[in-house]
Amino acid sequence: MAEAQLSDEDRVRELARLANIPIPEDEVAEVANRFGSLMLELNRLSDLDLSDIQPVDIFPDKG
Amino acid sequence: MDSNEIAFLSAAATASAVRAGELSPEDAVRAYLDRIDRLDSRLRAYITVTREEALDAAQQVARQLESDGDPGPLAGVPMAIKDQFWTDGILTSNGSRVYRDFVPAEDATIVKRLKAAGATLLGKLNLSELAMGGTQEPPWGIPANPWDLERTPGESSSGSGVALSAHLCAASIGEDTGGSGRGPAAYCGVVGLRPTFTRVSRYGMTHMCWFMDAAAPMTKTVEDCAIVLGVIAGYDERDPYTSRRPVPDYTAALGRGVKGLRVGLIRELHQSPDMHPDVRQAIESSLDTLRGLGAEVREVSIPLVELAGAIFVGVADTEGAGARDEILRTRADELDQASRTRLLSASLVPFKVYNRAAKARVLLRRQFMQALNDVDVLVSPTSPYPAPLHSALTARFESADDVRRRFFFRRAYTGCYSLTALPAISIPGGFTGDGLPIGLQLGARPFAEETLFRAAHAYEQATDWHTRVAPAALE
Repeated sequence: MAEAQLSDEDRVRELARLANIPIPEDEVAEVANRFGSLMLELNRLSDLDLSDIQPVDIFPDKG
Repeated sequence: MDSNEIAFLSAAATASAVRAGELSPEDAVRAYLDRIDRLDSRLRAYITVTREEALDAAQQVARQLESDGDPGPLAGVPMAIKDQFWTDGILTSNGSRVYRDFVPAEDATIVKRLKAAGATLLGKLNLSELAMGGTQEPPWGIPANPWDLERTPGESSSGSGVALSAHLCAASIGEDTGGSGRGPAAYCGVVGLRPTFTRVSRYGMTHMCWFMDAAAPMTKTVEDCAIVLGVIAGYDERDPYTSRRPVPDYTAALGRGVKGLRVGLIRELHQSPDMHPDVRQAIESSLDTLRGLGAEVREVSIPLVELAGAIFVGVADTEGAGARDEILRTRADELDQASRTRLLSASLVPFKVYNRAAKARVLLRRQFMQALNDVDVLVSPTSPYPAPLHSALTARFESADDVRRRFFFRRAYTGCYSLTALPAISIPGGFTGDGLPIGLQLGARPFAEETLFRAAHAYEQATDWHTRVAPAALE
């Protein structure tokens, strides 16, 4: 049986539970809205070819 | 010299007058304190005014001068510091109720260096909560833009921009993680520099994002900026990431002109249809000015810069939320609603998404370095539009498009230099038809601040934007 898809708000509740971050119930909708927008924008990075790149920090002295 | 005349001097002119015995350090401090008393209840630039400490410091500088000592390059210059840097025995609020009782027992390294160079500290400047931006109800009041009180002075170093623009200090220090220094400089019509990452110590600075935070000199002129950077730059054993490279005399670059300098307009940041037309026009006029001074102007392409806002938020907000984990778990109710929402949503970003942003950052750096093989200086607006209304800044986001337009879009312009650890400066680059300042942003190779100062100073001297005075400063 296919797993029921979580609503945006339930997804935020679940992620917050896993991360042990308390989110007041009356703010869940706003956080879910913001989180959704954030993920939508970050998903624009999915099309980049980053296969040969290491996610290193950048220090100017090292060129 | 009357009180108002003193407060409209540059930092360099103030130090020069103090050294020449034409201005007493105490008179310099009192001139600014008088203006703060008169104007700051409306402008809200300051969180704490350190009146007695400033007068004591002024007397100390005067004693040094009397005993033939050299107080340093900032002799008697009244400065103010963003309330994100520790100050011994003085509240360091970080613009947050969470830190309302935080009184450090020592100065940040940059504060020590400024004092040792003769600066007198007028106080601590207002900022967005935790240096993030978007605060809806700042605990110490909403800083107002001296060019139009209904508009934001920019974030997060709001008070640092306001205090300079209204001549409530001779020079200030902001902090620039993703544009928090350059943005307010642009909106307030002053100079703001993000130095090369690791050029200036971060010891005693409350962090937003550990690998991008940078102290930002903010000044009335390019010369002042070169002087202040020369004072605060250099290795500090208490910030192990600071570079051991020698600190040059940045003022030596001033006056060299731009003849032969290769200047590149970043195409992707200039062609956006969402850019305000007056900003576009100002940048094109600025390029004409640089061309007229002998610079070789061309266009360069940095394709990934369009996504710099997303990359920046993916790295900086996620790291910032992680760094505030304890606050989010135990004191979230003390945060401003907007800060809480921003941090909570960033704290839920999956690691694989953060990792992708961190990789994209490296790719962006490659593209910038490639462009800087062909040109010496990169050009763009600091912000694609002038200072928005307060109400537009603090309004809740209505949709994903709204978030993209109001949150991510403008961050690409300044965040790109933060992500790539490159130096960038915002200088006054014109005005909109309705009298709002426009920031011209110049970027350069790592540790090439001298090149930035050279180009910025040549442009500044060829224009009069920096001489205009904000209406609220004249009241």
